[in-house]
Amino acid sequence: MGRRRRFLLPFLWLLAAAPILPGRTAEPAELRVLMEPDGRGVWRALFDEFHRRNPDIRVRAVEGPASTDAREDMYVNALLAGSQDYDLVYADTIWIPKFAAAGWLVDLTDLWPAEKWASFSEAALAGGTYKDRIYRVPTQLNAGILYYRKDLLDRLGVAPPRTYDELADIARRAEAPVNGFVWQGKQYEGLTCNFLEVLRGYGGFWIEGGEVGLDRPEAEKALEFLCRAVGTISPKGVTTYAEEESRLLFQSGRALFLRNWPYVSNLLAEAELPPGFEVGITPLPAPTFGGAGFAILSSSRSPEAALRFLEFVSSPEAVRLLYDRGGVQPALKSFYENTDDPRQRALYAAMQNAAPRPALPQYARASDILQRQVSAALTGQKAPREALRQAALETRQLLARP
Amino acid sequence: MKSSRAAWWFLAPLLCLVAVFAIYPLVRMLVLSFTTQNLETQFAPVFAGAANYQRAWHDSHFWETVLRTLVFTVTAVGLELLLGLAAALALHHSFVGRGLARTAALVPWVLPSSALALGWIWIFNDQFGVLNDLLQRGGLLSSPVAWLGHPGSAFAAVILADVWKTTPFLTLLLLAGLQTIPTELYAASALDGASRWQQFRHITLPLLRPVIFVAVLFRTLQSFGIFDLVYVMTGGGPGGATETVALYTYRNFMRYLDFGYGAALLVISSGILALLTAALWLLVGRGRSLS
Repeated sequence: MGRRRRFLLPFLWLLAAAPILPGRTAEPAELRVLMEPDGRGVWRALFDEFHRRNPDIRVRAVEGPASTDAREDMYVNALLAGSQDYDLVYADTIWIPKFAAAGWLVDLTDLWPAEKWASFSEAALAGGTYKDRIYRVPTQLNAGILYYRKDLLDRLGVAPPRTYDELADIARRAEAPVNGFVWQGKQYEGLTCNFLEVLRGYGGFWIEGGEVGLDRPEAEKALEFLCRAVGTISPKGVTTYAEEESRLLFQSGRALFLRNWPYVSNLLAEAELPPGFEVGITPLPAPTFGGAGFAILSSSRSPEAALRFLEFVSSPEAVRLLYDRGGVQPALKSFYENTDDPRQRALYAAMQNAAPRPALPQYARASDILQRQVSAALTGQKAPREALRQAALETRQLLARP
Repeated sequence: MKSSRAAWWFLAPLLCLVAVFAIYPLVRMLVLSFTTQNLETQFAPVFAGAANYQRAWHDSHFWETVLRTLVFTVTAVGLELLLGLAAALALHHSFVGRGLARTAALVPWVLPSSALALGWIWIFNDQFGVLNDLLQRGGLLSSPVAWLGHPGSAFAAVILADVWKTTPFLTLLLLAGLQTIPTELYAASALDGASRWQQFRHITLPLLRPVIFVAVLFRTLQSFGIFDLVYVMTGGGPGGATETVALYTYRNFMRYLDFGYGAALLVISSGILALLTAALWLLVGRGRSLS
């Protein structure tokens, strides 16, 4: 008996180390999804409402990290391991090409008629499209917006700018301690979005139809504009700013123009602003799109329940709930057609022409190449032309790699 | 004979852990590094011979990150050792409030790096940052500096953040080491007329050597793999000036989904780490020890 017990010992250790298997029940159908942190309980309210209407389905949402990169890692980990931990993806726009190319997402194009798809903002829809197929139901309209100090522009007697050259002209007239133009110049995805806007604003392009436009004169003009801005119309520290650093500078009354996302509009509306502070919203010449939405994983065990959730989350009631409870910027056109809120109309006008970033499976690498070179030029390590030539070279190599 | 068999049984759980969490991943990495496994192959491993190593050899960006990480490791660990030793010596003497000081010294080590990194971002901010404010008030700066916006100062800032966070770890280990040195040695040498410096040079330092070796080794391994501080503080910027090996390898794995290549980079970095460990052993670890 003693021998036998000793023989069993390693198996006991194995048992202790084995993960506890989740109990599975046939009813109700379960939809598992990894969400952003839900501090205000917005998503919980939405899921509760969904449960009320669909008692046979339960959404099991896990609150993940706030960083979209970190959540993407968690999904990629689970999917590569072949696990069926999730049914839905609450996906950022730049995940879609990678996930679709990997065969992880259900092609939704033919599940709904074209008219239903047409009810979404074109920008938001394009952000979930890969090779002309739709993989994601947009729930959020999100794009670069130009905020400005309406009171100060009125005092200067000028209209909001329509080009970057006009913006620079006005920004030069800002008086210290007010900075002219703040944006996101830190080396991260936000820099790609900012640079892409200026690039397109000068008529250039990054990657289109297999062509790389980074070593063309338009690109050089765009990067030179940003390089000149650092230390003149923009504070030197702009090369270290992400969204929040630039927002706080603007919100504290120390910037004339701010390039940021629509979330700032809600925060400014709630914030106590310095006296006389009036916020203006105007379209950027070529805003970059970046919004979230829901996609269904091909490995999901309850695709039908998932589809019912997508129906629900794109209904005007759900959109309204998300907006009222959490200020989630709706992606449905009808919301903006029916609103009397001038702020919402201005936001929509600023975002409706937003263009997505290149829909490439290797997008992350292309973006890292661009960020590194643009950041090097902004911080004076390289001349703009040299940085762009290097970026173009590396990007071409990337696209040529089999 | 029987007792040694029993010993193996007691060791078994630990060996299982080592096999599962250290040996298996390493072997798996090695196998993976000879394959192409990425989006193009739909994540099926395709044998690629040494292609990934050839690519790594010509990847100047990778070697830049290796060099940068080595500079970072040597500088940060060197500073941590000096400061940690000084702090340990100070905390070894009894004074009022020593318990409190010892506890307080550990706080940075206990806090999560990514949270600290967010704090450092604001400390180094050009408009709101406390560092610029202090330097300007002290008359050392005429206008604010964007510390994380220049390659040199951003690199120094990351080193400073790392030193601040991990010096307590060295302090703790060295303090424990100091307490194992018998006080009689000091009393006896004092009778022979040894000065404080001589005591430090000929008693403290030699007897502390094994502890220093372990502490420095531990920190070197950790420091070479630095990720979280850099990831949050600078994202590798500006212009890639603070990108470390771990950050670049992570990007190849998780962001580019290029597993074969990522694995090759990992195998190469492991080799470099092994060399680094050997060098440390020759420099510090060999020679006299407590036994």
